[in-house]
Amino acid sequence: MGFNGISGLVSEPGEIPWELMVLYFALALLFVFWYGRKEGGLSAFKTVDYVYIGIGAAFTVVWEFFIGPVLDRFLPSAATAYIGFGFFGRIFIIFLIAGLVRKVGTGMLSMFIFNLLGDIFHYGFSGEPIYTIYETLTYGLLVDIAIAFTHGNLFGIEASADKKATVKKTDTSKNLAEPRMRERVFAALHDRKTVLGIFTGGVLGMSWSLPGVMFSGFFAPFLYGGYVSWASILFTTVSFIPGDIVLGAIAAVVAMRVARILGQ
Amino acid sequence: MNVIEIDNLKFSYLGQDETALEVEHLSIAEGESVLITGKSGSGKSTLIQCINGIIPHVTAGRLSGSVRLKGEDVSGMTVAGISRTVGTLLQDPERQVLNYKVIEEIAFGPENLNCNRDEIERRLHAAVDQTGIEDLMERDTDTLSGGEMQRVALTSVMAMEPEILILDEPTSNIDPEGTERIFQFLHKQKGKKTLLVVEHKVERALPFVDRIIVVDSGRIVLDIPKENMLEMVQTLLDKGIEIPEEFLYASKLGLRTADVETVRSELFRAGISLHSHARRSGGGDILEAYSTVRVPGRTIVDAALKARKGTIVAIMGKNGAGKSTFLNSMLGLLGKNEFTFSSTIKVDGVDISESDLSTRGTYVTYLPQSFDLMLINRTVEREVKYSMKKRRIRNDELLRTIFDVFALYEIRAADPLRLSMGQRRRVSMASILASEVRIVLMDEPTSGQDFYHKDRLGKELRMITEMGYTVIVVTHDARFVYRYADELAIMHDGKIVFQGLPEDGFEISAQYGILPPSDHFLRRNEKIVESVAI
Amino acid sequence: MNYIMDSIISWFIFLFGVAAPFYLILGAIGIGGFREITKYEAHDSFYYRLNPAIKIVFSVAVMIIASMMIWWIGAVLALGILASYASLKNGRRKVFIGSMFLISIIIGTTWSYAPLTPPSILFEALRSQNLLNLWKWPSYFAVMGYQPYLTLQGLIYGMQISFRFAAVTIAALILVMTTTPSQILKALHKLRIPDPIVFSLMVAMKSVPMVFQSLDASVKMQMLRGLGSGRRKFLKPIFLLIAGISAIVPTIVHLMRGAKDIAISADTRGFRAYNHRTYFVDIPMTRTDYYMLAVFLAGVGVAGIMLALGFGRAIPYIS
Repeated sequence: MGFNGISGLVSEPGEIPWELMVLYFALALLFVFWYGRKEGGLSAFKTVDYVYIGIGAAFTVVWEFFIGPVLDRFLPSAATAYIGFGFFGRIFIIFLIAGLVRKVGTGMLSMFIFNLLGDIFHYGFSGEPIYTIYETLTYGLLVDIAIAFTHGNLFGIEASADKKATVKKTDTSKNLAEPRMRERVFAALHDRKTVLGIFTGGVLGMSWSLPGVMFSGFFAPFLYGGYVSWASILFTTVSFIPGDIVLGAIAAVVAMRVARILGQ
Repeated sequence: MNVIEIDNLKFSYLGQDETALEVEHLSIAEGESVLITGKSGSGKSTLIQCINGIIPHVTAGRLSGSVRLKGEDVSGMTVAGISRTVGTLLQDPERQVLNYKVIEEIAFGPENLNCNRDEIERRLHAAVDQTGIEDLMERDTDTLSGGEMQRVALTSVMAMEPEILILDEPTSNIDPEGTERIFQFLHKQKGKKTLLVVEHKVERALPFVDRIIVVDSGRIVLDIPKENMLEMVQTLLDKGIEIPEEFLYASKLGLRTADVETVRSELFRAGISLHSHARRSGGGDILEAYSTVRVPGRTIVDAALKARKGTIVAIMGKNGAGKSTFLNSMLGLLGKNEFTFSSTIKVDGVDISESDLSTRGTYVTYLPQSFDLMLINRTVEREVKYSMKKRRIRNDELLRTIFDVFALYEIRAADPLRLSMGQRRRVSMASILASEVRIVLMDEPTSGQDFYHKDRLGKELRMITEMGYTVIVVTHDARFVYRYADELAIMHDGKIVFQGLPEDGFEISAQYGILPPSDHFLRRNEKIVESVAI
Repeated sequence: MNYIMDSIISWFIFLFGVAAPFYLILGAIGIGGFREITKYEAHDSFYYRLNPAIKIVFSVAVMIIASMMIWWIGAVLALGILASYASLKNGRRKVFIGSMFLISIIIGTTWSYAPLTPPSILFEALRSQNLLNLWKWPSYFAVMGYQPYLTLQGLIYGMQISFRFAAVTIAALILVMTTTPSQILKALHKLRIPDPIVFSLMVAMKSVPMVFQSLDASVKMQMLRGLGSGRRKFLKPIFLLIAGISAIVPTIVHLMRGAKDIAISADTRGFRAYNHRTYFVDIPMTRTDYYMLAVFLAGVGVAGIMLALGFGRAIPYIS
């Protein structure tokens, strides 16, 4: 046993060497501080950004802890309590919030607040502060790297997007036949920005499959003890990559839509 | 001394070419009370957001010119700094109130200013004294009615001790009682603070303002002392501002007052008789509803209502009278865990009391206040067709009629959630009607709407009742009821205490806390001249 | 023929694990039920009077004890805490919702672990080499990570693990149901979490019940507009699920539309005027709080001693 339900085991069979973990988190922290100093860090955030992040975190909690676990039962590989439909919900909402705020730090801040909220509603602060550090500096950081990489135009959403909804008028003929799904998808894919957004969402979604390796390979034994099954880790990671890519892409499309609706 | 000075102000929202606001010069003196009015989207809110610093500090865009508060340029100040001088009350109290307890909400501002406990306590008591909400101090904010919540929000703004108070449509989303209390407060503040009130209810604001500013298409088109208002009635009407009839007739008769009794007697003296609004008796009874709803310890609804085919029945009542609960009980939307209820709902003789939601939905449909929540499709067209598709109904003629009535052809390929509020309301209405259901229940559709949109809604309701639909509408807007409803049902303490012609209902409504509209007083004791049977 | 029958039965068993928690939650509790157990309601009883920091300690203590000790300690804790829901506002109703939630966690978690846990883990966890095979899965189930057999020991192991989750979830909800969001936030402020983050949390906590409420309204509107019309009653949860997924975007948009007003409301009342802010209402530690702190710490201490004496046993997770 150890502090706050953390076993603190670092030399279980198959466990990722703790030195590697320390190195990763040290580098991640260095990057965060360097970039924060360069770009102004949290001072660049307006109050409305904190509101978006707060509402997003509320939605993520509802999905991940209450709706997701119900849906998880549909998933054959719901082998752990941390990956599954609930996790897809997390991808969906966090990406959406990142698409709305688009400031470096959104990802980490969202994960930090989501973790605190998760502790209040579900986990009861067990395993803290390890969880928060782990999730903020992996999932959160990946989102922020994507925002930095796209110069704040995540998923092709630009700051100069229409402020207020302007609706293009269509033909006024009274034909009520709808375009077919294939035609709609085809038309959407002709838009370069949409394709770029979907691509970014897919890549970011795929990148979110990777911290799971870190969790199962180091944090699970570190927090709870037990051995590490790399066969299981590989199976889980590989089986989730397609789902995460698809969800990431869908999240990007929805983020583009919601950003347009809200005039963000 | 001028506390607000605006010069050569020009603002466009980010990504938009058109100018949202252009003001050559505007100055407001210390202690002055100014009414800012105009139709929705005219630029009123943009103007006040330039004064309280939301533009450019929160909402970005292209800004030129200057806005000075007591000589200091707003663009060089922070919003938090401005908040020491300018207090802002917004339209929707639910979005403004952040804290769980009323006392915490009021203390929120002074806490942000780093005030110590004694100072917070002093400000808190001073603010509460002015707004008179002592009885609400121990309450949780989520148990307050809209009106109470708005007064709490106002108190929390007052606790900032601002010299200038901006109120942006403070009564648009609240009940008449809450509205009255806000206006009483503003009356008391006249001369003590500089007041800028954005309001559609011009006549209610007149007692406490010195000056009226009309904004239209992003420009100040009228800036007059209130004494000159009667001369400018037609201009105000042309700019889409709701003007009560007595002002119109007073202006036409060349009177110097718009007092209802004076105008009425002058009309009589001039031999002018006003036409009453047509009330339709409709077809046979289509809806019979009886509900009892209890919460632990008391009965909150014990009401019966009947509606005839092709009519508009308006339900009015004070806050907490049970109107929305009654509506929800008819629809089967009440939670079994929160309420104990029983109801008998018959539509055209068919008892649907025990039916599930989707079956009930084939007989009655519903437009909730938060109609955005029902817009689940990607295009307007799919949204409107949703019900028909789910119920496997094909009725192209009905669809075409609905698209025509709600003017949706032009926007049929648009994303419903991207439309303006008025358009979203029309899409929602169209989508609930396109299912061959014949009874429509609506909860507060007039809330937050300006004159133009209320008028349009009224006309649409009239059109759909002529198509054979029956409409039950819960509203606080007495003038809307007087102009468009065929029947008025007054709800009090969970009971329908009156159902009949609006003219008769407004004779007794005051005792139930519903102020009759001035239109009614102007026509008092006149007979209904027109009755249309369907 | 046997192969087809086996497949059908296997899928039936698989779907039981899928459908049972699903029906329990959406059928018995509904979205409204979730809202009830995630929302503070004013009341005056023991839990409501405790300092929020002590309630956080309580959750942590439950987690530590449940994770260190033999499974039935977790089970006793979960059931005991669930019984104490009776002292909350609308206690009987809360016990009912909590029970359904608990059963769904047990069935769901058991079904997540039982078919997937390899025998080697079961040998280690249950200290038994004899596995009783209850069902043989078709070979293609291995693609999903399933073991060849569903064993009684697998089910027992899954159930044991479920109590670790159950105890802490049931305990954590007490904090949310008996503490105002502002009290929780004040406790976090005292832990020196920056004010903008505390503000974001405040918005989040205010929004959680609104998310449920808005989802519920959107789902009901879809039903009223004909979703699931003319379909059999047992399919209702499926349509509820479809409606729930369709409700996500309008609900997000509905909540986000108010975001700017929330921000303006805070900014125009001096929010972030300074790096620090004061708090008018304090949450003092009472004598009861100190007693309860001592009880929880003693509980953890006793669990530690029992573990050292060989009475406790952590269940290894498969990674």
